[in-house]
This record gives sequence, structure tokens and C-alpha cells, in this order.
Amino acid sequence: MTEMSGTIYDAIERTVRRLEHEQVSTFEYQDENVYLCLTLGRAGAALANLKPNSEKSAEAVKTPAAGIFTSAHPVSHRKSAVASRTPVRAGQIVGYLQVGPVLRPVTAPRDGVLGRQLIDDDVLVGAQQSVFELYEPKVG
Amino acid sequence: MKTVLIANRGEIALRVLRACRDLGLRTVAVHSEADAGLRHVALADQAICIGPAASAKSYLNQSEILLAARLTGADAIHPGYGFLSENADFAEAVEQAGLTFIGPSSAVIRLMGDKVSAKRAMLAAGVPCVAGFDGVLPMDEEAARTIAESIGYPLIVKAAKGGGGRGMRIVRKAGELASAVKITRKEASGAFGNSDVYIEKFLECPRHVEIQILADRHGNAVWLGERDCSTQRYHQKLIEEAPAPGIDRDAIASLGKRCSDACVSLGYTGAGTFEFLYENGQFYFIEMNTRIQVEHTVTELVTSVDIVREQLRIAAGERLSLRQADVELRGHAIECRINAEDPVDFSPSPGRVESWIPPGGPCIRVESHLYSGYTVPQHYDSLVAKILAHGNTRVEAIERMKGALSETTIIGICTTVALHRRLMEEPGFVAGGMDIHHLENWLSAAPKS
Repeated sequence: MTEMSGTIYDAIERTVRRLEHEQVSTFEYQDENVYLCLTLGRAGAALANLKPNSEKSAEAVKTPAAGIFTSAHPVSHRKSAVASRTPVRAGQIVGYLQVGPVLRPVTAPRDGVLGRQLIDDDVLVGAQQSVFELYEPKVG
Repeated sequence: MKTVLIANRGEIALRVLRACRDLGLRTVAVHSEADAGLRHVALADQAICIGPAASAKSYLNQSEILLAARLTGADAIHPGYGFLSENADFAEAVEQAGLTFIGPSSAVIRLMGDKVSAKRAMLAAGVPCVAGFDGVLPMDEEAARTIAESIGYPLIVKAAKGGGGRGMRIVRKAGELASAVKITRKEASGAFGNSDVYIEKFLECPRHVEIQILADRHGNAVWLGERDCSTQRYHQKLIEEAPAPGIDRDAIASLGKRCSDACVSLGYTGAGTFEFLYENGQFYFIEMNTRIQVEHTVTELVTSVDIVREQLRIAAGERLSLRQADVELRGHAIECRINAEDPVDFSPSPGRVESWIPPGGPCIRVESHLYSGYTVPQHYDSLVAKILAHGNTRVEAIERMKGALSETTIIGICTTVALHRRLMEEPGFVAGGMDIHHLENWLSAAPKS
């Protein structure tokens, strides 16, 4: 079991190194039992300290294309990818667009704090439709 | 066929939407980010943004359009004109997705999209073509020169995959041939992704006359008269009219019959246009447009046939609603294309339309997506309206057009309305039957006001 776990961790580590080398920000893997999502952010950002800056008006996370919007991955038992008022990094997956068997990620355009979800799950959306508020982070 | 996705924008998208509505078909408008305010987007049963303003990422994005069709439950796609309307690969993708492409089959689009194979098909169908070499020009310079001399100068080098006036060079003597072929090949490769060229005799002062056809899947085809589209500027049509002034009706009828017969032999379905040059009493096929054309409305006015409605019915597998004997030309129709352009230097004039008051009155038709407050985006073709006038005679149609143009108000952007007002008084146009160079010659000689 330990050896098996080690193999998985090694594989993840190798994958992370590969993603860094190829400058890929997000990696998803899924089989019958496992769902793995690796999101690489910039080093040094103290996400835990980020809070919504309510003094600044919210921007939005927009969809990259048309599809059926869902805030949760299909195998996550309806658990949203990111909860409201959670800090997110640029490129982090915050939702998904489903088109038949294909799942496309909806990602944060920049570092920030996720606000209200603006579109219900399982609703057809077009490209560039706002699905989440996104506040500028307030450090401190 | 229950739901039609309209894969286009502007006036033609609105035109298609109205025809769908008349037939009780549900409509889906796909649009770019820049086009969310389009009139047909507001009127469609469902609208969905498919991408950014750039055409390559929206109206030319095949996969996003097919995806939108899937998401909205559309079972047919109307491509309009321009964009993907004559893209055989897109038509094939639509077919493979199990949807109906409202137009001919991808195989026929591919055949007619290659000017060399189209010319061969037309010759085989008995449609007259310009004298030239029946194939792609060989790469060998000496072989090309021999072929050119057998045709005789002047001649024109054209891109095999070209169209719309792009990828062409005139050669007046043997010494110019090699360089013209080389440049045209380079242009063709860049613009059309294929460097094949062909050559044919160059006609000095032809008119542009075209035949509108409709053909169904049951072996029926009709021709709906001709249009004269000789009022052009750098191959871009500005005014179209029907019928063509001063051309023998029997010659037109003979040509029209050959075109409709060619459709049957090719297995062509839908609306289409055979374009010809006309010089010294002879017609010469130049290309076929396998789609609806901007100027289809001129034909609709003189025939009372709703061509877009027929397109939809044909795509749904129905038979043509008319026979050739039912086609009767009545009076004369003229169309002026109103472009958002400077009327003197023709530079684009995008911007907010502060006021749009279209003309009206008996026998005036306006096709436009404009409304007061609409912003003409910079990203697309500049056509913003088509103003049409019908009369019992050409003189009556011109008089009605003058009245219509005089009351047309577009404030906020520059348009070609002022140019059209002048053209309706221009002696050459008033006389009728001018060649395709007339407008350019008149513009270069006329005072810039």
C-alpha cells in the first residue's frame, strides 16, 4: 500500500514538474474511482490571507464558450469546484461547461475572491457569459 | 426540420429569421460578443453567443457553431451568405453531424468551389464559358506560354479556388505571363490555401449578368430570370437590377434553361446563382455561387417568389412550389446597397447610428438590421441596408428609388446613400446597359462631392 501510494505521489510529482515545464496551468484526470485536479498557481501568493475587497466593484468570471454550466464536476457529488467567498488564483477552475461527453473548464481570469454565482447550475450559457462575481483580493 | 440555426449576422440573418417564422420554424441566433445587440438576436426564439468579435473565433468557427446547434436542439443550419456559406468542409461537417445544411450538398459545393472543375462541369452541361484552357495551368513556364498563345492575348490568370474578384491578373502580352502567373499563384496560396491557377480569354468591357435558380431534391429546377450587377467598384456590387436592360429575352431564356438543366444534371439543390460576363451578345460563365446572394431580393420583386422560403422548403425535402411555367417577370426592380462607408473614399464608417429613418411608399422594400441607437461594429462587412424599388418600367423604378433615397435618413455614420442619389441621375446609369468598368470610370472622373 505504502509502495502503491509512493508510486502515485511520484506520478503526481512528475506530472507537476511536467506541467511546470510545459507551462500548463491545469491538469485533470478521471477514471472510474479517481478524480484528480492539479491547478498550478504562481509561487509566493499567500492565498490564505486574501479577502474580498468589497470597496471595489466586482468583475466577473466569464465562460470561454457555450455549454451547460455547472459549478461542480460531475463526479464530485454536486460539490462546487470552489465555494463562494473563497480565494482563487488566475487559471483556477471554478466551474465547468458540459457539451455532451465533453467537459470544458471555466477558470478565474485573475487572482481574486469568488463572489456570488450568477447562473444556476445546469443552465445553457453562451460564450463570455458572466457566471461568478470576482472581487479583487484585499491582502491583510 | 423544426429548428433552424442562423449562422450569420446583419440583414441576411434577419431575412432568414423572417422566412423561418413564416413557415412556423423555430429559430436560433448565434452571435459574436460584438453582435449581442443585433435585431435578429432579439427576435430569435433562442440566442447564444459563440465567441469574440473576430469572425475567425465566431462566425467562422465551425466547431462552436456545430456545438451551438447541438446545445439548442437545432436540426438545420442556414449559412446565409459569406462566412461559411460556401465552405464545403463545413457543409460536410453539418451533414456528418446528422443536421441539414440549408444549401446544396458538400460534394456540389466542393465541385463548384474549384473554378477549374466548375468550368468543366458547365462545359459538359452545355453552359457557355470563356475561351480558355480546360484545366490547371502547368508549372512549366514553356508549357504555360504555349497554352496562352493558343488562347490569344489579352488573357486573365485566375486562382482555381478564388472568387469574388480576388486572385486575378490581366496579361496583355507574352512577356507579362510568367510574372503574372507567379504573383497570382502567391496570392492564391495566401488567400485560398491553394496555388493552382488557370487562364482564359480576358474580356475588355463586359457586363455582369447572373441567373437565379432554385432546385429541389426531386429533380425539379427553375430559373427565376436574370439580374444585371454591372454597377461595381473593384468587383464589389453596388447596384443590382432585374431584368438586365437591352438584352434579348430569347437569349436570356435559352441561358436560363441551360442553367436549370445543369442543376438537374449536377444534382444541385437549393438556391444558386450562375454568374456570367456578357459581351458582344454572348454570355460567358465565370462562377457559380452555391448560396443565397445579397441581391436575391431584386429577383423576388420581379417574380414574387420568396427565395429564402423556397430554400427552407427544399431543405426540408419538399418539392418546389412552382414550375417554370409559373415564373413570370413583372416590371423592373433596382436595389441599392447601403454600406457604412465614406461615399467618396469608401473607407469603413463604423459607429453608433443616432437616427435611422428608412424610406417607404408604394413598391419600396427595405432590408436592414439597423435601428436608432444600434452601433455598427468595425469587425464585419459594411452592408447595413438594401433599398429596393419596383416599377412597371425601369424609368418608374428609378424615379421611385430617387424618392426613397431622398427620404432615407441615417445619422451618426457615413453611408453610400449620397453616392446612390447621384448615381440615379448619372446619364450612363439612366441609359442602362453599362459595363462593369463604368462606375469606376465615372468615380475617377466625377467631382469628389
